[in-house]
Amino acid sequence: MKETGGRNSIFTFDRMVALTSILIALFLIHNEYNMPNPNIQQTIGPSFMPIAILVALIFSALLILFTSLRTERKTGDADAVLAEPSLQTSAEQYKIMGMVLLGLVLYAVMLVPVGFIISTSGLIVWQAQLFEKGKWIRNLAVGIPFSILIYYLFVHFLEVMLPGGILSF
Amino acid sequence: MKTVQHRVYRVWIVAALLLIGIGMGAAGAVLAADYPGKSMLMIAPSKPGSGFDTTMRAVVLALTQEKLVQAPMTVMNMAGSVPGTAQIVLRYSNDPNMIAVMSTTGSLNYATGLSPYYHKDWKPIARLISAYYGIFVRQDSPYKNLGDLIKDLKNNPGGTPLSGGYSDDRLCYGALFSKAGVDITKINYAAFAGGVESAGVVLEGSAKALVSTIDDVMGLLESKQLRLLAVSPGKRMEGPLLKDIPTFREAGVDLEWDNFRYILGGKGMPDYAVKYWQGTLTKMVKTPTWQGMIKKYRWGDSLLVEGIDKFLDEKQVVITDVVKKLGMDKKAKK
Amino acid sequence: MDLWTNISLGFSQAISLQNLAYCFIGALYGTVIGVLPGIGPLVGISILLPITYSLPPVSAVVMLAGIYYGSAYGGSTCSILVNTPGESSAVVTCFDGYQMAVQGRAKAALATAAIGSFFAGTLATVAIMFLAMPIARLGIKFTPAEYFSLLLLALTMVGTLTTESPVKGLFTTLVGLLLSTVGMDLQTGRVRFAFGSQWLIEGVDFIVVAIGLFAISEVLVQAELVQKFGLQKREQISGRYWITMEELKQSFMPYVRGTVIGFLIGVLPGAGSTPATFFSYAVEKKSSKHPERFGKGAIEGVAGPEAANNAANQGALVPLLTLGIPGSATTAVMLGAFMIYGIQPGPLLFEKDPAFVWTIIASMYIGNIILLILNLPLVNIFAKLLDLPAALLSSMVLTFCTIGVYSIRFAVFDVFLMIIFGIVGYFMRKHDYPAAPLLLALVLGEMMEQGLRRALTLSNGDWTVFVTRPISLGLLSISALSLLYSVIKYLRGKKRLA
Repeated sequence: MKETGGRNSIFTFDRMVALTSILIALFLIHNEYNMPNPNIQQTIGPSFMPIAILVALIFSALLILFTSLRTERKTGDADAVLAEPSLQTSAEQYKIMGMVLLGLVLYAVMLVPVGFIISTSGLIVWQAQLFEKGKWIRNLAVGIPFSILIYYLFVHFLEVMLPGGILSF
Repeated sequence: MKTVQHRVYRVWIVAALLLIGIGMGAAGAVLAADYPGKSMLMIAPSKPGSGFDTTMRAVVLALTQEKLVQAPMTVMNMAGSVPGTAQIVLRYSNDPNMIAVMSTTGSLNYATGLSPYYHKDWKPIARLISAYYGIFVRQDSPYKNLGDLIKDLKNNPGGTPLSGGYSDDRLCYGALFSKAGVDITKINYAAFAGGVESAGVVLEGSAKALVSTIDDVMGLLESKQLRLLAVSPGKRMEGPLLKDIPTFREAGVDLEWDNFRYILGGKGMPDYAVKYWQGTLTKMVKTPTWQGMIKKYRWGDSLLVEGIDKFLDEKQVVITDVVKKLGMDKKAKK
Repeated sequence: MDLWTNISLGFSQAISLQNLAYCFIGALYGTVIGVLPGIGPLVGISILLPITYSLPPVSAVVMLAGIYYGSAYGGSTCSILVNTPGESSAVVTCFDGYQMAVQGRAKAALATAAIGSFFAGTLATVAIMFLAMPIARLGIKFTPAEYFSLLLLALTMVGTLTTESPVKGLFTTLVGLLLSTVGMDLQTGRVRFAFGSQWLIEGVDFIVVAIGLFAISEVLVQAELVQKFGLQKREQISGRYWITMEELKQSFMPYVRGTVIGFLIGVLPGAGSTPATFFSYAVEKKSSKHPERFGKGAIEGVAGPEAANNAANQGALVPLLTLGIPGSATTAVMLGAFMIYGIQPGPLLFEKDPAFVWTIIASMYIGNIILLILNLPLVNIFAKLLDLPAALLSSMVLTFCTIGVYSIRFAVFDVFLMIIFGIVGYFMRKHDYPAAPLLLALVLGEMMEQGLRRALTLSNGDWTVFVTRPISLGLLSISALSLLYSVIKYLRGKKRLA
């Protein structure tokens, strides 16, 4: 075991994926197996395919697990991909991605009650701040007309209803 | 003195109440006179090109061309009819400026347990049209009439596979053949997304017959690749290719079947709005534009305004019964 | 002659003012999304779908097709000027294209890419024209049994041949298949894996998954890179001549080879255009007298792969139009679009509505000419798009993604699903789990399962139907061989490590 962070811990990404998907697959098989089926004439029912896929999924998860263990044995490295420094994600990078996601979630929550124009202007300003600090005026000057234009274009020209919210027109 | 004051108060209260009452009445009258006023939202709870969409767009076209409604009307497609109806129920319950189109599919989804909502969760306005079904076979099929097919379905259920749509087509299939005395739980029915898709296996020969809305596969009937055994309405249909085709009843099964499409509003739609649309739609179905649409899509003109609720109640019972016979009701076990 | 009546019918409709206009809009929009990094044809088409509802179907499909093959033109611009591939099929163009730009030969690189795209696009359209009817005629004989076998073949090829890591490719294919079973089962009306959600009864919409996995994850990756490297600068388009006779001569044979390679790989179900570009690059390098020039600005290294990319794109339309089977993730989105307009592509479409199919084919000739004009003399204008501030661009992309997903059925539920798939897509990228097989399996999975069960229903439960029918047997044997091939590849990989 080298001491470069969690890189060589037993719980690499691939192994975690494999183990969780096996557990989920087992749960889903159990769930699907106990479903009552409609009384319709057919050779294989609606449960056949899902269960077959889930069994294959468990097999392929085991294959990932096996490959990961084998790679570690051969190269002494549990997760060769993560060993490249450029692919390591720093805490600041996770933070900025988290903020992007937070903005998107807030956007989704606000879209219907508050309306398209206000939430979209908000999203644009928020997102632009994350990418490039400052330039408030430019971002607002682009964001607000953009939102109004898109709203008008979609609702009145392309006949796609966007939520009007509190600024309905 | 005290009593006088009391009386004065009482007068004031009565006057105030009267004023409020008159005011509300007037406001109501203004609203009703103005209706629809702002733009109407016309929901087709399925994809463009679907039956719902065609119906709704035909309505909008007729209303606009015949200048029956001045307010702008926007057709909104909501892909997926099951949650689509839920949306109508929940989001637009009290909005008088929303109408939508629904069909047998709504009653079917409620009967199978797919959707918890049915016609009592919204306000039916008027039944507009009926789409009819036909039983089709390949041009060179040995079946000469519906009776031949039923005989085979009874004697050799495993060897007589059928094809058709998964939703309302299947309902017609269930209603027809269970009425004819066939044990439909033993029939091989390959379900497809719709009529056109299911025609392929009949043309190729692996399915013996097809259940489909007539309009869906009209092209294949015209090019003489398919032959029509029987049609579902109560009386014979019009048109050179259809007028000689017997109805189900003439072919020996006592059944009339259709896919009825009706217009509905939210549960809280005020009476004046319901009245407005019932009147407008009644006027619309008589116009040449609408009659042209009916011809184009081979719909049955089946306007029903009075008693629409009772009609839907009765249909729900019939459809639930067919769904049970199909083995598709929610309580069915393995 | 049958073919000529058909194609002239197509042209007569394609040159209507309306269709020309939509063809132009499609080509223009396709070029724009091609040029912009991070928005490929897949995302570009997905976010546009809801607004095409109100168009007549023919015009809508002409436009979508224009976007589809147009984006392959624009894709090279970003690779050459910024060294950032807009999508995986433009990776190869970076190798020599960017080097040429650094040496001040950006114009020649852009020109050879545009001319190569035009050459391949036009020749491939000719090939489509001749191949479409024979394949559609064969397709008439397809029953659910053949469809099942064909889809199984497509999926084995996707999961095994086209990815660097077959083990992970298999895994994501299976996840896609699993997602395809969510919702109501057509054959019985029984709901699977919906866990009480009304929205999931209709299944997991592939557009939601596509936008999540490809667009949202891309914005996340951009956010990550911006934090690390800051904003990127592009090379300028300088020089007097577009392309010299000498350079054109050097490019000609790569065009021809690239077109043939690309078309053949494109027609295969499940392959897509990325392997075609890599294969073409390898062929050019091998057949060159000076292989050492490759990677240092060899014009053949741009010409071949660009031609291959376009030919593969067009080739993938063959199974889509004639059999209704999408061969790549992007054509899967196209199939979804067809369905939205109520059109089921496949052999019956050629019988039922020949005007429709042939109008689209005819419009491809016109579209390629429009694209050549847009991408050669006017490329400067599009290159300016690369100067747009990434900050604003990415937020506009997010807005369009959200509108696109929301307006499918006006459900905020779908927007949250999109965000979840965005996060999943980000980690899949980071850890080499290929996303395209997942998406393709999601689309093909339902068709495959329904094919299997319809075939068994129609044969009254007789499983031999898959091997007694010759076409089905042939297709199954090919999938068995390709599976065997990947097992061998996997085992050999094991030896190499040892």
